[in-house]
Amino acid sequence: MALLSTDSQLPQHGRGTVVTRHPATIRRVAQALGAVGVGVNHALSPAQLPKSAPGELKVVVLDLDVDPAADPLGLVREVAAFYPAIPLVVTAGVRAKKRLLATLGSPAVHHVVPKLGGWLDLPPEQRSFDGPDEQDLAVALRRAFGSETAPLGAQPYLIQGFSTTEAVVQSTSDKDEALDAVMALAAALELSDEKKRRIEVATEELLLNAIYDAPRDASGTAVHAKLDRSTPVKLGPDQQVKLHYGCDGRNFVVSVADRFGALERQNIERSLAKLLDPAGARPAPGTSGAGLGLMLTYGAANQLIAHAMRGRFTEVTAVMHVSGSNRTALARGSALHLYLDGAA
Amino acid sequence: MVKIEIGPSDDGGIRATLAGKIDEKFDGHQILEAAQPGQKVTLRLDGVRSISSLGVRALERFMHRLGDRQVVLEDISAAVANQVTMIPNLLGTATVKSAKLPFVCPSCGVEEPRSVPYQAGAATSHAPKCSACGAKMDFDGFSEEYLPH
Repeated sequence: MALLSTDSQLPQHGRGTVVTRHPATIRRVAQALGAVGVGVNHALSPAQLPKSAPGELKVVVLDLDVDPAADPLGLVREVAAFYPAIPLVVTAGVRAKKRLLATLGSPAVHHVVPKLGGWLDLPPEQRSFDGPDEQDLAVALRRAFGSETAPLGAQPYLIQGFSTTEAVVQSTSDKDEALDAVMALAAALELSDEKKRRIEVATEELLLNAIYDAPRDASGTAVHAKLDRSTPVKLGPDQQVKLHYGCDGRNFVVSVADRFGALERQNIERSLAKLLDPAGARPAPGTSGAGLGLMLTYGAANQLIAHAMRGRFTEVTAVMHVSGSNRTALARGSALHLYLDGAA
Repeated sequence: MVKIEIGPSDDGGIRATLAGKIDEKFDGHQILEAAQPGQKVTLRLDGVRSISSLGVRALERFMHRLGDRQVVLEDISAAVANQVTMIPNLLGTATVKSAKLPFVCPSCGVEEPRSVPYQAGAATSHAPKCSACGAKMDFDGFSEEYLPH
């Protein structure tokens, strides 16, 4: 069975190396890579990585389940040392949440993608390690291999042809109106209470971050950093926030863009690291910048996409899976895709 | 915006029912004013549909201001339960008695929030029966996202 032979009929735009022992993972990753015109090399472990010609290798997909007992960051560093400057997609099904988030300490990791059914620490009989969602991964890689230098809104995560709504947010009262409009769409779709809650959390937190955390003055100082988030804010014309949202029946997508591009990888790492703390996250008193909102958004979303170009824009997009049951959506886990400073 | 109804409870304390979204506007002052020092406070939270990050701060501050009163939480909603799994200190030293979580009937498809004890595995070990057909209901979620584990 030619599982790995993706090099015959596809338009070739380089190759990707998949490091895994699991056929289901190879199949799904090969489908995702093939969909964006990238061929597949296969390695069973980080110790068996194939060499590649200069410029040929576009991405490495590392399945942490090649060694469930190994330090995940150690596996990542081993691969990153062999393929310096190549972006890594990390996937896992065994203790996926903790092990995937632990790899964010390596700047080589641009995408963390749970295997379907592997997000939660379920009893073995309830687990399914079917590999990552190939369509979601293909969409993420398409963006990574593209050269987009502007916010893309919600559209990339919806089936082509479905409309999105755009709103401009210039104040905290605008934020409340925009949130009401998003929730009106969610209500019209008759989504369950938990799905609506996840959409509300993601929308509100992304808007709050864009209003309170993002704005910078000419020297790059965060102008609202010391402001209590319960203080109403009115943004200037050059500070306006754009919200895009839409639903295609499978995904409900909310995308928020600001004009500052101040979001940095370490902000994301710090925020999501709270999920690894056995004592749990703690809210910081009063002011913004605690990273709690980003953590809550990640927990609510099935995909969180951060795209930033310093001084130009930050766009954070949350994709909530809304087809099927709440349980189905939760089982998909939370993927993270980072496109920071234009890098893939 | 949270709506709060307060009344006496059978055990001599006060009982407050909260409904709506906990956000930056929540301070629970009505409860703090109604509860005498040392008086037991029972909070029913199944009507809380969402908590924002600002609401997390507000709720934590409110729980702290309840001081050394005995605080019991009944039927915390899925929204509250989910936040507590991510922020275990959110409810301070309060005792959580039960959680009202989403269940679905595999037999007739009815979906409804039902109350289960707030303990590990309760969504399975205490799975309710469908109010329409009597079949054992399935939890529409995963325990570790809503219950202690």
